[in-house]
Amino acid sequence: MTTRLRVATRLRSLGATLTLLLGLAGVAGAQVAVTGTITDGDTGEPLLGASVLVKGTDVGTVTDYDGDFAIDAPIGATLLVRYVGYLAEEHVVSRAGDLDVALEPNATALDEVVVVGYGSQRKSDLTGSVSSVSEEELKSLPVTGLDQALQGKAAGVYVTQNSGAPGGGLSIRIRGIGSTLTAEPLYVIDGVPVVSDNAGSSTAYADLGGAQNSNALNTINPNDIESIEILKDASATAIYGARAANGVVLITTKRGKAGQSSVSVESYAGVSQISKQLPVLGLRDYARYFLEVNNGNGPEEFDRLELLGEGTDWQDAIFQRAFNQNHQVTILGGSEATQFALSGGFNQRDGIVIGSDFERFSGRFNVDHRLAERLKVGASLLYARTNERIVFNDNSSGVVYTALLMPPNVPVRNADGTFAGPSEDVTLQFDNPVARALDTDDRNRKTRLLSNLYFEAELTDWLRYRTELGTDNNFSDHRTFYPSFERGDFSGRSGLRISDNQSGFWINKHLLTVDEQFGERHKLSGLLGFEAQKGTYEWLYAARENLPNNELRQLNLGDAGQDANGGGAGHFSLASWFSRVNYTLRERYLFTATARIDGSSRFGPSNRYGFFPSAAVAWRASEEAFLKDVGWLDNLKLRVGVGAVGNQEIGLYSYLANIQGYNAVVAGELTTGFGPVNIANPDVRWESSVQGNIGIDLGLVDNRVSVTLDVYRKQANGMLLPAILPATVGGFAAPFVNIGEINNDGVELTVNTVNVTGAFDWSTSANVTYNRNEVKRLGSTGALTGVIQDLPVTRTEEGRSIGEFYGYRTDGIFQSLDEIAEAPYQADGVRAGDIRFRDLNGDGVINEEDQTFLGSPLPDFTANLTNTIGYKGFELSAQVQGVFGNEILNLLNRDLTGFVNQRNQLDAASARYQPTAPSETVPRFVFNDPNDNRRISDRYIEDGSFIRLRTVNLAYALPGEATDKLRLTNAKVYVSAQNLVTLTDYSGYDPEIGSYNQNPLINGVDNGRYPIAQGLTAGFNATF
Amino acid sequence: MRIATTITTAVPLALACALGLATLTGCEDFLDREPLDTIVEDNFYRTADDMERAAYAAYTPLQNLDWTGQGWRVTEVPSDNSQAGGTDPDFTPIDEFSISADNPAVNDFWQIRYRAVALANILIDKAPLSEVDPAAQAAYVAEGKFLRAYAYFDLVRIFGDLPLVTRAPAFGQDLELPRSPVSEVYALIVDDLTEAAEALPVARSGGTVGRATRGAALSVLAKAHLTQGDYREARDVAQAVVDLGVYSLMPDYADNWRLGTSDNNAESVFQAQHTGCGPFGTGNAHQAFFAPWGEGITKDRDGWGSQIPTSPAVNNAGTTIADAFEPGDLRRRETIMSPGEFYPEINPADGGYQYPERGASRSLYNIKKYVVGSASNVCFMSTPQNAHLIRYADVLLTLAEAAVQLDGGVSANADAVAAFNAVRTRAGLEPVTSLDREGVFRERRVELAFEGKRWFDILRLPQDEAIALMRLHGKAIDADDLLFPIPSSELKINTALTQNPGY
Repeated sequence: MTTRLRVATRLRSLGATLTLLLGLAGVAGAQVAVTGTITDGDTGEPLLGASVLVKGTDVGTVTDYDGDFAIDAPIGATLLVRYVGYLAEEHVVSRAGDLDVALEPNATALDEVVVVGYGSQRKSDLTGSVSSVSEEELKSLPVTGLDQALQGKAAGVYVTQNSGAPGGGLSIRIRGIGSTLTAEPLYVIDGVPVVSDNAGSSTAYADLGGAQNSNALNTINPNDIESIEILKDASATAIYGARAANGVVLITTKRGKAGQSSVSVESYAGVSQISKQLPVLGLRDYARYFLEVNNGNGPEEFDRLELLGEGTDWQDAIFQRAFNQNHQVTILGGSEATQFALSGGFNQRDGIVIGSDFERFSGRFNVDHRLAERLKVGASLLYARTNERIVFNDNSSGVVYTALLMPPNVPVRNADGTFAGPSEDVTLQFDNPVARALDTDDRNRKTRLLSNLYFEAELTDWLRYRTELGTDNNFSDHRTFYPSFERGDFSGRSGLRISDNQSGFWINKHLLTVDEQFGERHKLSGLLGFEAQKGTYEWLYAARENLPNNELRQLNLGDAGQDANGGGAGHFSLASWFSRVNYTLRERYLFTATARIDGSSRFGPSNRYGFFPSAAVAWRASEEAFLKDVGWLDNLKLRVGVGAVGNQEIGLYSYLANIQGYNAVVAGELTTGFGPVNIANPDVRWESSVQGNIGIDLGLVDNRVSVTLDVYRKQANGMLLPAILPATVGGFAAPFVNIGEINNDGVELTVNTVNVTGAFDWSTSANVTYNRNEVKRLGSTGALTGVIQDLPVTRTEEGRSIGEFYGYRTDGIFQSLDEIAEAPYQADGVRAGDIRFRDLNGDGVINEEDQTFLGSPLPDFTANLTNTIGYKGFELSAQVQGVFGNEILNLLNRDLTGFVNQRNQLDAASARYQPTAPSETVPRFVFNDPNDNRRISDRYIEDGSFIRLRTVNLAYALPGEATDKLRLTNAKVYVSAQNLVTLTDYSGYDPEIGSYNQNPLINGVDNGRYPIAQGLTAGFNATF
Repeated sequence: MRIATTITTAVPLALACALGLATLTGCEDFLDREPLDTIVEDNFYRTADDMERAAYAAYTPLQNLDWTGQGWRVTEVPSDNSQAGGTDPDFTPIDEFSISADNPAVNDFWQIRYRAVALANILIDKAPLSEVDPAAQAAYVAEGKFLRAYAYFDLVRIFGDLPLVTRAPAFGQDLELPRSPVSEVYALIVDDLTEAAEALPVARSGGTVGRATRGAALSVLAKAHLTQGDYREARDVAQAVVDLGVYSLMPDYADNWRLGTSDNNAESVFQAQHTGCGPFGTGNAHQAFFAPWGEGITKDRDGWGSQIPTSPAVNNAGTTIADAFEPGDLRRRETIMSPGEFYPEINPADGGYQYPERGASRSLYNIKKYVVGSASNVCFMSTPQNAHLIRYADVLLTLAEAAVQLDGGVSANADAVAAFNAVRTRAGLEPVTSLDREGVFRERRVELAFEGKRWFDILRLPQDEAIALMRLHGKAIDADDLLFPIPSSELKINTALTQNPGY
């Protein structure tokens, strides 16, 4: 390091000496005073904080509030005038006195700079498929998480919340699902790769009613983000090699700018609530239903139906109007030599289900410092602490699920204020959901420290060296306390579980970049890089039961005889070499080639290194002579790219056969034997994916209309699947083999238009995505089953899309014993009022052979439309999202329309089949369900399409006079509504379901999930 | 601190790896990350402790619910001794000989024994490569061969021709094995047991009690010879077990079924070792399946009467286990609970247990063996009592049967008669002076009832006799029913397999 620094310093002084010599060679360099004003070339507004530097020296200054500057410089020296967002200009000092400079804005769409893997590029130079979400877009809405920042913003990026809980998980699918292991993209936050592995930082106790892990990325404060780039095709992602198959999301946080410091305060507060209630039976209807199905026997109070009141509305009891707030202070500032960004944020949200909330404190410090003319150092530091209280859901004993089934005759609380339990007359097998939500304290506290330090040296004008050292340390402390209770006929003992996870990660990069123009025609830039990274984790679990009371909640108070504990650790490493070459010929023919070699500890020694190449060409046809004069055509670019990428998230040690303890009894004593866990495939390697993309970018009428169309194919081959082994080899866990193939084919269209400009302006942005997923090959695996709570719900087979719902087809309701006798045999005990299932294979028996595919949870296409209207400081924008052609498996309805026990039901219960009132659609009530009416069937499949007014935002920017009075640079107030209207045929709470714990095989299953809220927010942003 | 460490380790490492000096050796180390919290197979099976623990693991299939406990679904329920207690998707089709190729009980029977084969093969293959001394190596190999032969002996009698796996499991290996003929399976069994008998110790003590012995290997070998019709070998090998002089019948038949006296006792040649209230699968689960339903004997959620004795109440009179006991047979009350029978030893604190006069199952009887009631070391599906796999009484009756067969149906062979009478007189019955086939067959039935022997005894009969016996009992079976179906899941995966006729 020190040697390198010395070399660089020497280079710098060499440069200075040369400049000095050149300066001397001109007019004798007498110092003169130069003064002037720097303005915006378009508006004439003075530019505050523009830098003026004597080129080749450390001498410089910045403009003041009026854009004025004063500097001493030798005659013949060159003054470099720079301001972010404008084209830099150079002026040679010929005399003392005024030098006014009007900088041209560098803001045309084509010259936007976008972040790409290990660097940035002018948008016009891109050959791959990259979507950007700019700071402007991020700033325009109050976003609480990454999900909202990305939702609907880019074609081909399908974001769904897996849970509506504050801080709940989300899944991001970039161009479809291409793996059965994980379909989540790689995130790179300020250069540090982060995998969104929710299971690594939280625990979901299915036995207590939990299911969804919390979101590993909820430690990231979206208010800190400057821009998000989504790399979609292999020519853009292949530089990330073995981690790129699911796409890459690059997140860049805000950095400081030279000039006067600014202090921004952003605050909002809001409320959210459930958007609808499900129509369950009220007390009187429930009592009537109860008496009917229990031969007239029931609790005493059911004797006089007319005296019954409204009963308990359990939905009212578990849902609440929830408050949320967010406050952020950001300080940006710096000199020409040093810039910094400092921010602190606080986000607090109550959940719409009682007993759930989320808090995040976050701080960030980004700094860049110019050590010398050609040397730069800097750092990005992010610290966040979250405290999340989780309420169990997405499980048949979760709070939402059981609240719907809890009879209305059970009160929430007894007269003495204690929680009430189900009465002894009603058999339920679950507890008071309000008590469960409030008494269970399931809390996940996470701390994240993400940092990246860099050092950069301009070795020559065209060669740059940069090294980065990034770290990501996470600590999560997940504590679950459930108190002892006795309620009605239900009781339970208390317990405490603690699960602590710690992970550490570092990455060290060394990058050499080249950027050079050769004559008029040739431009060459290149990157040669190496990086090494290593991750470790440790976990510790401890639990005890029977704590002496419900107030003291520490482990050692529990029953030592009922303890359980465990712990473990793991590690992985990657060493990678990569390179990219961009070559531009005559500003119109663009060539990009990338290559990466990834050595990963996850691959077997025989396949330790993977090679991931890509190539792309683009033709800026609009630069050709024959199109240059076409006035309405500003940009026409054709792009073609192809590449190979991989997914290394195949488990840490899939290639190794492991030994584990076997509970053995030897000579009457329990002891531990050791034997195999699995049979390993030593050749196991990354899941590979070959991706091709053809795209057109079009800019029309002064770029007021811009269109991007992409057509892609992602061919995942070598998808990792468990080999199916005969039991004769011992019944050990099967080895993973790279045999599967999945194709995702799609079309993405983005259209942005500026419809009206002037005092009144109106712009529209729209995107549409079509994706078709097809499983091509599963090898000996044959079929994969997605299971929720022991219930097989999806099946994946060759020739169909991944994770389609699988079950029986129904054919109405049996109306008579004669019909049953004539129909194929279903089960003993079938009576009129039971569901008739279809005998699909015609063998006269309804059995599992008659199951079939019932629909796909994947949408055929998705669309987003955002309109923004501005008038005199007012800005109104509305985003509409549409998701079409997907099905939902409403698992909740298995119980809500089960008619098999004494639980509360949907009001459809009143229309159920009864001998006196036959129904053609709703089955009868019958204890124990001999016909298995509740089996997974098309009864529970619903159209999941929806159109949603996702956000409406009305903002008002205070006019200049007002802000001046308040001594503000700018100020904005706004109100915003989220999910105000949703048009859907789905009968459950909300059609946006997402995936079950990021499982690619289970999407669109509503198992009593935490519904997504609608909300209203008001806030302001002010910059001093 | 952390960052400092990171810098000092990461940067030099990354640079060394990057520059690599063309060898990549720095990177190889960097990329070599073996698990931190599990043992890797490549590093195991080395030390004496490794091998000892591998041996422990090799016995675990025997403790498994699918081997003992509910394992008798396959070896008892088809016979004329036992039947399903109610309608059960596993038991009922076996009871009624309407077994489909995806019957879970048959599938479990297959799987758990092939797991035993795999764990035994590991012992056989890994011991010679380990660091333990040659004598110890030979002992582990012998244990492996005994356990392998024991599993194959069960499999060959239920399924016939078998895929013969004789290597430790490894990737891509033994996936498409066709079935080897019965004769080849027996050749392996006989070889394995002969070899095992030579290397195994005659007696076990201390921490190795319960593991394979010479007597156990010889006992299984005698039975294998008997099953193949090699009566002379069967008789000689059974006699060799007697001549070891280490076994004797417990004075009281009941000793074999009481907590405290049943485990690894003088009569035990080989038992599945159990402990009560341990992790699931380490206890004896018989009581859960045998104890009458609804009687609360176990004071837990189990006691389902899933498997019950045959009786004239529901089966053809004269063919059932309830009919089979001679008057005065002391074994009867220890074997089946009959209406009104009183058991002071079951839950003595409650004053004992009286089996109801109206019976507690559809056959009015329940199985008594392994039903011990509630105790501090008895939990859900878990009693501490070892499960008998080979009792000395079984060996003595094997000797008697071999002699009778060798002598053409009737025998006065003094050793054989003595062996037979030892079993009979303990039961409080009169000794005999000569043996006949009928008598030995009947004696085995009552002595070993519900111990997983009866269906194998029936299978040892000439085929037409076996079919006739089952038909008389009320099961209209044919020759195809004497072999069970190869699990359909196996046929799907291993295309070299063929199904047994009739399935």
